[in-house]
Amino acid sequence: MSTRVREEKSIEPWGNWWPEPDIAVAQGKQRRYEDRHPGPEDLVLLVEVTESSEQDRTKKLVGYAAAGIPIYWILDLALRRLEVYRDPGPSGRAPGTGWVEEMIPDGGFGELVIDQRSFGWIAVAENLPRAM
Amino acid sequence: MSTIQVRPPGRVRLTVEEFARIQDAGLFEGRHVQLLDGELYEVTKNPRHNFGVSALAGPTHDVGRHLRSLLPRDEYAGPGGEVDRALGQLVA
Repeated sequence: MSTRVREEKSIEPWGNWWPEPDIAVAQGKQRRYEDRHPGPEDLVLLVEVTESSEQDRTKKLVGYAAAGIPIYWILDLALRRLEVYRDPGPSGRAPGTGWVEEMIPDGGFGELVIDQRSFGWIAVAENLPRAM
Repeated sequence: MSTIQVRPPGRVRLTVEEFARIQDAGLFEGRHVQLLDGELYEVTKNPRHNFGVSALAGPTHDVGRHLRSLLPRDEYAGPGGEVDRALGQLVA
């Protein structure tokens, strides 16, 4: 499977949603998106980097689950952790969303999984700016 | 006797089409805005945020270098190792 990593670019709108995720990993080659943005059905991972934007953990958590995004990461700069939400579904465990959730603290490692295949481990600390 | 219908206060949610028209008209005046369930939210931009985004993403052609830099040394088997094989599939 080929994928495209898109940084701070639009994705196709749906319903009353037109978000701009910080990172979107979309399946397919670049040419697939020469005349449209990737939509929810194309996306295999969305990432938001947040410090105080509550909507990343409230509205987007619910909206991305409803849109069927398979994996959603929140890199929280204030709490210094990576939040991994995956497999949204009716029997999920994150309250009100359907996501299975995992909190990985500064010093931990998050597994990079795309389309159910592991591509390695990401050190959370390497992605956080220095503590203020 | 007449009664006065009082509508409960509610939020006005924009549709994607309305949002696009407002954007196209330039009414956001350079503010970077996204539409979440019909509501407007400004997109975060600051150096610490940008650091996190760049550190975690990187363009596709840098995914290999990025992963190698983040993997513990004992999990990176060097050129041709497991990481390179995985990345070959990722960017193929």
